[in-house]
Formats: sequence, C-alpha cells, structure tokens
Amino acid sequence: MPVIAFANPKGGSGKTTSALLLATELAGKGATVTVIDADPEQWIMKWAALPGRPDTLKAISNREEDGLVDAIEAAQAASQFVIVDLEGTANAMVTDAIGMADLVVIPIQGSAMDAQGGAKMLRLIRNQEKITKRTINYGMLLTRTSAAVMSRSLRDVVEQLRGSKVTLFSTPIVERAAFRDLFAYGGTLASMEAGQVSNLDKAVENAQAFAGEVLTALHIVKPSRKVA
Amino acid sequence: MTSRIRASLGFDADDTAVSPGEALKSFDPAAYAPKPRPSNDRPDKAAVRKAGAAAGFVSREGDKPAAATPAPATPARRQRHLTGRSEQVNVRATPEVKARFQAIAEKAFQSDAAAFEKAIELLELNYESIRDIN
Repeated sequence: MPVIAFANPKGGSGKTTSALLLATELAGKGATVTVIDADPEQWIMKWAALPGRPDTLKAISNREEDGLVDAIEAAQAASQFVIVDLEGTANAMVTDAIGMADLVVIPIQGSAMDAQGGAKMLRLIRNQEKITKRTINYGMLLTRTSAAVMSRSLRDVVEQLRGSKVTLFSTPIVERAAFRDLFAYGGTLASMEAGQVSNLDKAVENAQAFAGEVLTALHIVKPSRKVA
Repeated sequence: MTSRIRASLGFDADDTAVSPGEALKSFDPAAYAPKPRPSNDRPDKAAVRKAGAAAGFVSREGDKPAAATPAPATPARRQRHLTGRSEQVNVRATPEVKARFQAIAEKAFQSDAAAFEKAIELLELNYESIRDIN
C-alpha cells in the first residue's frame, strides 16, 4: 500500500492539483485510493464534496500534526494507494508524512521561490535518510509549465536541477484549464466533455503520463526506456 | 542514499518496458496486491522529528507539555467557623484549675471556648445556689 506524499513548503507550487490528478487517474483505472487532505485549506475535501468523485476514491481530512501517522496507517489498510496532500509550510506534519512515504513528489513551478522550497524538501529528505537510515524515493515535478514556451526562470530551474543531479519527473504538469476546472466542477478529467474545456485530450494525456511515471517510480510497472 | 531515476544509456533496454504515457494503461489494479506494511515499520517519531527540525520543519503546535504533574497539594483553606467569638478573656488561674478546665474541655467539648461558654450557662442556671454557697 504505497504512500505518495506531495510536499513543498512553498505554497501554490501545484501540490494539490498534481495530487488530485494522480488520485483520479489511479481511481479511474479502478484502483482504490485514499487521499489524505492535510492542507488547512482543504481543497481536496472541497473537491470531494462536489459531484463526480469516483467510487474507489476516498478523501479524508487530517489537520492535526499528531494524527497524521495514524491516518496514513489506517488508509494503507483500506486502499491500494495513499496520497497525502500537505500544507505549503515547513511544519512537523510534512516531516511525519515523509517518514511514512514510499515516494515524495515535490512539485515546483519554474520560479526561484518554488525551487528554494524544493531544495528545503531535499534537505529534509537527506536529513531523514541519514538519521533513520532509510532510502527515501523522491522526484521533483515541474508544474504549471507552459505548453508553448519555456520561460527563462523555468530554464534556469531545470538547468540547476539537472546540474545537481536531483531526480526530476520527465513529465511536467502543464498549465491547463481542465486541471483548474476539476476544482470548480468536481469529477475527473474522464468525466469532462471535450466541448466544456479546451485541450482536454492534452490534459488527459499529461495526467496519464504523470501517473504512469509515479507507478514506474514505485516499481509497480517497468521503467521507461526513454526518460528525459 | 537517495534513489534517483537516471536517464537510461540503453544497456538496460527492455522491449517490454513502457513509456510514461503507456505505464498507466499497462497497470492492472486487480492484479496489484502490494505487501502490507509490517506493523513494526513505523519510523521512530523522535528521529523523524529531529531530522525535520534540523531542516527547518518544526511543529506549529509547539512542544507538547510534559504529562501534567499534580500540583503540590495545597492545604485546603480551613473554613473559618463563624462563632461570633470576637472577644478574648484572659483569666489568671492556678495550674491546677487550668489543668482541670483543659481536661473537661478536651473530654466534653470541642474547644476551650466551647467549654467556657457551657460553664457560663451552668453558672447562670445555678447562680442562686452557687451564690449561697459562696
């Protein structure tokens, strides 16, 4: 029952969107998924209250630092995948979630602030690895990228990440209206109609590629021969 | 050591491997039964929190106070018994009379004052006969 934690102490980096995309894509395949919403803003809980939540996807709220580990363990017993959406601050709940995670996804936009938040996450991961003597699987995820152009700041971030040899998902989460609409109307990308939103097919392709990479990183499916 | 997904150099080419876009499609949840996490696999909380604090991830709820130690028992404030005894009577007596008074007060009354009051009542009742004696 793998635990996938989405974390970056910088707010607005794309944690919730990418967590929901992963959750809905896995649930769309029929997998049982529990999303633990540990963000005080409770965006996932608000999404879950809208119509269209897949039957195999359960969302639970956890806002207490000391309750998160218990909540994760309970979710592991009930679901094939546990996804934890964390608050965009550097608090002990993030620390506890990383301690339980099989994969840490660190979403970053192409900005210096997000990248610095990502760097802080890496320090946490390395500290935990040293102290707990456990390897922590992680990957940085570029989010809200433009489908058309790569900005200078994004190029700088990518170059620094590659230069420092940190793990980077090859699939970026592109800025798509369909992703925003999930939180406005509920449901999943699969339940949207093409006429409702532009480039829905591209959004679906993007979400599926990301979910596929997560399965690869968790060694659930064979790794790709072609990794960017 | 942190695991990293490195770009393949081609030596591990596998015709059955799938691209990220196809990986999700090849996933069959019905056939996926991960091993449950061992019950003793929970990381040491203190170690995890220590690592977090070193990286600047601190509890926003603050350190929990140690188990509340019972406050030292303060003696219950003695209820002041409102007797209306506001005046003091100093009487000189021989040691023998004093001892006799304290003996009867301790034996039959709660205090010297109560014994004194009772003695007055008895004196009043028997004043006439006492006067005759004296």
